[in-house]
Amino acid sequence: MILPVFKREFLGYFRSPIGYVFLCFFLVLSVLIAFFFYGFFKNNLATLDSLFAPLPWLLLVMAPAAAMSLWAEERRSGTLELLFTLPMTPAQCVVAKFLAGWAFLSCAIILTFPLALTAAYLGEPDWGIIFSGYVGAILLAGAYLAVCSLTSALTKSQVVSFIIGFFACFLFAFLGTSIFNQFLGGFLGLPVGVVDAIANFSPFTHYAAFPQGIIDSRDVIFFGSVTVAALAANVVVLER
Amino acid sequence: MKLGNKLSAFLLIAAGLVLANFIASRLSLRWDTTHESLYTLSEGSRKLVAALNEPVRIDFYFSRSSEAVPVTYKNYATRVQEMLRQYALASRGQLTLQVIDPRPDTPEEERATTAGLTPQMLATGEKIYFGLVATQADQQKSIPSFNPQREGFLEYDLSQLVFSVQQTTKRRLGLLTSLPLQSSGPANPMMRRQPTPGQYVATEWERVFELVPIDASATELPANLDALAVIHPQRLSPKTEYAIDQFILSGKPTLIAVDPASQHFKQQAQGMMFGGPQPGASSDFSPLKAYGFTYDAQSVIGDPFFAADVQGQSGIIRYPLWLNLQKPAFNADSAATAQLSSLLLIEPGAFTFNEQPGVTYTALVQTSSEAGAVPAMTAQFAAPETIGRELKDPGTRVLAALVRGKLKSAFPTGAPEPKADEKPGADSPAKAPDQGSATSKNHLQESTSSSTLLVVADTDWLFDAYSLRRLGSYALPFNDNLAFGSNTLETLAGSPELIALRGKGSSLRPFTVVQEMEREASSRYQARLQSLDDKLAEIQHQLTELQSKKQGAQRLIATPEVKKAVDEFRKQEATTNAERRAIRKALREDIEALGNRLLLLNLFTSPLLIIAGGIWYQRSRRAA
Repeated sequence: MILPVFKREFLGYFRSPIGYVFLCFFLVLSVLIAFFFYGFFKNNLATLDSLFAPLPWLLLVMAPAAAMSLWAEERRSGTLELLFTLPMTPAQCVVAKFLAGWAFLSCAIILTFPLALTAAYLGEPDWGIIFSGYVGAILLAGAYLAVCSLTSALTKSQVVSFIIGFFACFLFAFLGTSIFNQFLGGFLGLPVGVVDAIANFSPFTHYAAFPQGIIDSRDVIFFGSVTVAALAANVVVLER
Repeated sequence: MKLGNKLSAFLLIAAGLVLANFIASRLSLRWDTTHESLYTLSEGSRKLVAALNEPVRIDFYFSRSSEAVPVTYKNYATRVQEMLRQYALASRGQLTLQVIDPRPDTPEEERATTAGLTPQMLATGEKIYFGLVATQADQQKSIPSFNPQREGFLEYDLSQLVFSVQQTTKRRLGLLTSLPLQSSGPANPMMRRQPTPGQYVATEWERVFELVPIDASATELPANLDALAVIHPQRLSPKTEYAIDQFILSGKPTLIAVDPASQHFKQQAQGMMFGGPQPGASSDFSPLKAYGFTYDAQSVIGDPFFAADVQGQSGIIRYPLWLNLQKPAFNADSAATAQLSSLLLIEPGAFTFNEQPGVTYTALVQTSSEAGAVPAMTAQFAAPETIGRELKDPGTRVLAALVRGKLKSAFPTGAPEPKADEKPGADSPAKAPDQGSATSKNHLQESTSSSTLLVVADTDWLFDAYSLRRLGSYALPFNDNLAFGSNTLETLAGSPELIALRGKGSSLRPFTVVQEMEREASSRYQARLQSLDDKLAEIQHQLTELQSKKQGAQRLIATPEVKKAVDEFRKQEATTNAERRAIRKALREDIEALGNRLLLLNLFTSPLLIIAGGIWYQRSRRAA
């Protein structure tokens, strides 16, 4: 029962011009940032660091945008009731919608491939590192999206959903920044073990190793567990 | 679902999330996707620790509890710790790891300082420790502080440490040299000789090795040598060469440094009042040919690209026979040279390889492609300003190389027969007549296992004068000559596993296409730029001449002719300058154009694909 809903949702992104605008906006922006802020060509190095470094920030905006319509729109138009009359559990429904959004975001990320081809044309990039960078980016997008799917289920308005989703992800990411950790440790006087544990719940901390070519089980489990937990909470919210 | 139920469900989910990550943090599986397996213990290190037969303890110090430690350091420390854990696993219990967090004013901090760890100062003014100490029995070695920028060399540094801490007895390095590298010992009033001070490089070597001086006339090498350094060998007898040859074939590492023009001997020759027979400034080691090397002791290499600045008669000039070698000259994949950034070689020679099966030749130090050769005699008498024009046969030259594999003996017929006129007993007393036949029996025709030979075509770099300034007992290096000296030695001292462990991750991956374009553009415009520069210099020269005339004879009245000529030259100068700027710009133009094309291509490829896909999808929907 998951597949038809997945298909409907995934193709839904492409039924209106918004999906195309979204993809083009993301791709043009990532290329511009890579070239002008991170010196993709000027650095003279055959790596995709200039793509992967700003990606967590870019996804911070893109994931809430991709997730905002998932539930809020159903609530507003009243189709949510209709959806639950289908012979499927809310959990299946949540998973199907999430997978559709994740597939859409993954498409967006994978469509940055011309940069990888450019690097390969100009030099000899380490394909292993590029591969693990993409894996990390897709896992990160999944975790963000699950959190935003949860926030989308809380409201009727897409705009409100976007804003809450963005701030939820932002807070989540902010946990790992050194400014915040110094504030926790220095200003609030929390023990370092607690600060490190909090920092460990930041997607930034777990994303860092991927663009260096390391796929660590802890990082994969972190993104997986955050995704699963957010989706479970999503089901609980929708449960009546 | 009731609100209470929902809340408890949320709590359960949160608890599950924390638990899953807690469990995950206890066990770690990693997939190193890098092409060079940068973060995985390589076979060399595995073998090294598997061969440990005495327990080694590693104390890893990191101030993890310090608030100010940046996240980058914490992440790096985690990776170092994991690497160490891999060592411990591979050692099958012989290597134990202890992780210590030295808080301020604790016994741990005191232990860190006494073990020689250097605290790193953070921007906040806090001191943190990030280093390690390896202990075996009463031997202690340390890495005073880790630097994330050296991550590519992490494994080499660790393996080197684990290896060196096992060396309880100093290995014996035979030193056969005609140069005063070692100090001649305490002053001997009976001999009325002042001690000659040694070179600093020998002091460095003595830290790791027991140096065993070998007389140049020795026909046998001292027993139990672990390595051999032959530096500036001069007119060695065939017997001595044979002994060295057999040592090399026995598989023990050897450093051979030869020089077509030793500054030391040149200066001695100048010091002599009268002509007499000049002591040869050049050295040669004829067996090199058998190992696949061609080396011409009569020619010196010059490199206009890496020319060093020296004091000439007309001020500072770039002198191509003194090579101030920079990063591109060094083999970035070899541990001996990967970390070097500058080397000063004085009138070096060069090697060429005649590849032999089963032997690998690795160039360690190379000139630029502009280098050329000049006869040593010409180099001695030509003016420094004009020597660049004498360089013949331009091309890249190998100045230092590492050879490994099964070498063939330079003495295929066995030990050389003593010459008839050779006076018995002139050499060391150990040379008994029956011993010659004994060595013939043990004659090695080929390397028993794998030989390791490091050759350098210069010896002056070992002298303090070209590598450091001494401030009392403190040496202040002004280039990496000393580091190269220690590195060559480490390469020799290390086990084969350690040598095989190349400096991982040091090789950046540049845009080769862009580099090629840069080279091509500069060669295309260089001649034109040169002629413009010459023209400009000529115009400026004429201008100053005219102006000095004006100031001299016709101080007050400039004739219309002179004025016109000055104006004419000024105009020419301006146009030449403009042309020069245009060429400089053109040098970068192609590359910038490529950059712009690629930017456009990247900007539009995917969006166009998306739009095309969209159109196709909408059409197929309508058709359906």
